Amino acid sequence: MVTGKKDFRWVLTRIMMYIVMIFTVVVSIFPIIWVVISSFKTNAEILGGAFTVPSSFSVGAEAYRYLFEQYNFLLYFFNSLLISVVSTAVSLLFYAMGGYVLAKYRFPGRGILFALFTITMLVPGHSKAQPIMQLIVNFNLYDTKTGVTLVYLSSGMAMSMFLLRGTFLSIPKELDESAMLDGAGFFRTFWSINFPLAKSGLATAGILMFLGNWNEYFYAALLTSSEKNRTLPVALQFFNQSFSYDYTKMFAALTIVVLPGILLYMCAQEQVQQSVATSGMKN
Amino acid sequence: MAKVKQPYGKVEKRYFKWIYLFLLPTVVIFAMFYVQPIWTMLWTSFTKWDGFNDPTFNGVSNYVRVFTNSAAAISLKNLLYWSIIAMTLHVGFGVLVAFVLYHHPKGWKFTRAVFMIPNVISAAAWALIYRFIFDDNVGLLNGAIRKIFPNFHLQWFYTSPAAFWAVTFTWLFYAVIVTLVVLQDLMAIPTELDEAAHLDGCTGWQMTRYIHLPLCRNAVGTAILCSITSRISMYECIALTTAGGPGDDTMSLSVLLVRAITDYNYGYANAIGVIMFIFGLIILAVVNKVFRMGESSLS
Amino acid sequence: MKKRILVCLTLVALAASLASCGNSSSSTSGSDNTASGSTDSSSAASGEEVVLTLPTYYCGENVGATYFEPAVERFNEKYDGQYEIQLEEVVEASYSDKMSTLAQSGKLPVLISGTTADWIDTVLIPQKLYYDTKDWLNESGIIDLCLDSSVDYSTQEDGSVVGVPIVTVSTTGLYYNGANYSPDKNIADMSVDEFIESLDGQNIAWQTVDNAWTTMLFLTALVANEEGGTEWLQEYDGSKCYDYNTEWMISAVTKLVDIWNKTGGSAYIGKAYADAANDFMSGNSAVICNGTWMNSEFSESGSANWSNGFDGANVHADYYPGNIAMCNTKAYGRWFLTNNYSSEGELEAAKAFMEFIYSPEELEQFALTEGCQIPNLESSEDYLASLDENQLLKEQTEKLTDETVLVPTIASIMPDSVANSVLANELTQLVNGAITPEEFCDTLTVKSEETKA
Repeated sequence: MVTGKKDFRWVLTRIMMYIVMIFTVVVSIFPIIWVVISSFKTNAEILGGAFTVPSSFSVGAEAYRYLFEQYNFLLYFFNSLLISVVSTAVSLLFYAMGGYVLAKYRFPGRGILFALFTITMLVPGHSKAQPIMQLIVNFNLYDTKTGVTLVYLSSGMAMSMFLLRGTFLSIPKELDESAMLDGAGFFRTFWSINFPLAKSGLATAGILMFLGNWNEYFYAALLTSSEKNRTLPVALQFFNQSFSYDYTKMFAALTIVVLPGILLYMCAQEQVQQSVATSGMKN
Repeated sequence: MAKVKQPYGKVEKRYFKWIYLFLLPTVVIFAMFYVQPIWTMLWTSFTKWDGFNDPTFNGVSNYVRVFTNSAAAISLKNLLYWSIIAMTLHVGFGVLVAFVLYHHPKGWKFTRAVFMIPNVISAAAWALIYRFIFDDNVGLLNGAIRKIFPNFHLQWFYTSPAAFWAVTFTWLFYAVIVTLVVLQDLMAIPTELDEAAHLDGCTGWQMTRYIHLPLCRNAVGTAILCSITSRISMYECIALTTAGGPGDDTMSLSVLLVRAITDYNYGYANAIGVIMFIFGLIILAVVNKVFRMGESSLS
Repeated sequence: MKKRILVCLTLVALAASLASCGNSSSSTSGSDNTASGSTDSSSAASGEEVVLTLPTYYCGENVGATYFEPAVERFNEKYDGQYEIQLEEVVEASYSDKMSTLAQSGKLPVLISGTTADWIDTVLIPQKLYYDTKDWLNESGIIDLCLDSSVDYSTQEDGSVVGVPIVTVSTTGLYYNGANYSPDKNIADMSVDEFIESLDGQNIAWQTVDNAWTTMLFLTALVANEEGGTEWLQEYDGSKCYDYNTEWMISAVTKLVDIWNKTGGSAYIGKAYADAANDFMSGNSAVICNGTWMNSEFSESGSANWSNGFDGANVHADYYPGNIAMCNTKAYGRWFLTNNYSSEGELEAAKAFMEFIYSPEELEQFALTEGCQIPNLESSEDYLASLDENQLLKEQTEKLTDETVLVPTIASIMPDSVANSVLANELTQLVNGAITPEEFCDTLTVKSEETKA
């Protein structure tokens, strides 16, 4: 039972939706394609014109061969994976606990604590660097994966607090009350009732933190020195130094660093999607 | 908004120890990684400090220097404009994408996943990409414009006032955080609500305007907050493209801060840091008030 | 759900390992070649050996690696069983910050290289973290090789010496492409006007982005050609200048704009170092101003970056019109010893390494690789023989005469932040015609003043 007018509007809306989507996809996917293509071009080709097709495949093959011979990317990959997964998982749990009580309970200091957590996003990164390095060195964690992981715990605090508190706010309070009436303790109310229901918020916060940590190079470069603790983004920095410019290798290295991150993210996204869908059904 | 503060009930009090236990990890992280930096930044902003040797107190002279500096004035002006653009166009675009994705058109999952990619590419590579987009001779943008106006020539990053807009375009459409935050709130809307509205005869547009948009107030607030604070701290997309130029046209406080560090003027750098911090606090307070954040949007 | 994530992760890991396994046979042997990849397995075998870990960026992709990595290998071979240097590849951009933090927590390595003069003045000297090299330099005879001006500069009020003063100098000149420009006499013997005329409209590879390096070098040459300019530059060698409102500056800047317009300037707005280098190596421009490290780009090994029929063999080196060359002589040297050694053995190892690096054979090797001069060393037969094969270095050596005027670059006398970005930003405005040469000089003055703490 659709009238002609309604049909027209429906079509128009659809068309506009697809225009927005196509635009989004184009502006997002174009850079990565450009990076990958550039890794198969010579310096002169890259600098000569941005949108030329590589003349031969061998330039890129040579660059990738060089990179895998000179650098142990597998090791860097696992370092990156370990550091980002552990720091994201731990901080997600911590911030979920924090966000949960801030959202659902009244207690002295609630306002001030939330304010303090949110102002963390206002501290300029460059002003933070020195004291944090000092702290890590004092803990004897210089050049360890633990040190880097510890620093990453602190990243994304404000963002995650916002997101998670918002998520827990949208979970009806009645659920807690009935759970508590059933005899569930404080922890169980959090872990068995609220935590599963907050999955989509946890996923969003987790993905944002994970990608942030995966790409972080500033602290990783400062706090590690030996190869065994090197992460992927640090290795990338070697191709970005003054007076040495090998764009072919830089883009090849970038591809090696970025692609696993994107693959991981896409995989995780799919998983999260399904789990959110199932938890929604239970609800 | 004046609410009478109710005293804490017996049940509430019983949970205090749990509550503080839950907050403990976050508080510890905050204490470790933020208290010291914030404190150092604050007090050394009143000193002359090279970042290494003992600082010497010099009153508010660092602040006087910031406020008498013409580049800092331009930075503040730019920050204001960029904040407005972030709040309107940038967040607007992110929200738009979120609403489109919420209706699950074909390929929405793919779009959502792909939208994240720009955030994963290192800033140095971005700088190079932008230079090719905005280059006069081989650039994509001017190439396209010249299809219509054959005599068009403009060095986007290197002439005023085009440079301001070129820098703006480096982040304008990359609003994936806004989209994710809003989308997450949209998905939390109970399906019953949609169904009820549908039965009441709400059309798709009306539903969006009167039901969905108000319900993701919190998310939009968060998004605005995050996008403005990232404008305050925005560094690489300026430093690696225009470095604040031409002249001081696209200058930002963060670029000035790093310049001061380059010259080992840490006291001055931290004074700039404090100003950025205070600007952020003001934004935080205003957005919180306007969007009544922290209250459940369902109530 | 957990299972799925696990499967997913394993898949990605598997894919990644497959990608690298394709090359894994070479990757293990390859990582041994890069010194950073070496492990301490060899040192474990002989208990006596002193192992020195050296965090540096003179390895891997850095231009400094070409000489340095093989040199460390030669050292390790020579002192096998006694000393071993292990390199740790550090990101160049974070080197100074890293050293500052290590210094604050008393973990500075015994050997440092690659920090800025500002860092030495702010951290190493006030905190007395350096090892006084005076006696050792005298005993080892290295002092005879050092430039007097640098020895003076490195000597502190109490008579102690910081680091190893300058031994090798790289005199910065310019390169021209003989295929499209053949001057009838040395450029160094021309005046600025003659030079521009002889170019006959050919391009100079300008740069306006980052630190505007190549343009800055030419500006320095113009200033040095002005009345009073040379004295001014030399006066501020080793220190910072805060006043650019001078006659010679304004006049030189005015000429720069004029020359810029005559040599294809407008096409070079927004060009970075890589663009300028690529422009020259594709035959598009006839001249590029650059330091001697560029020599290696014109040898056969650098041919991957050539295009448009460019041939490195056609490139010649020369100095600037008015016989100007650039070089900082009042400066610290390249290496610094700190007093933070855990054992005497470590200090001895560091000294042995320095004595090795500053031995005549190694110095000449260094000079050949990086293209520099060793003023206080009598050249060996071998060196002169290899010089014949190295056309560019030969030209650079021969054209450097007693008449050549050495000045510091103008960037080196500017406060760091001005040299790094203000100069380029204002230069863009200048060549766009948005500001006059007077305004340009005035802005440099104002911005330099602002950096004073």
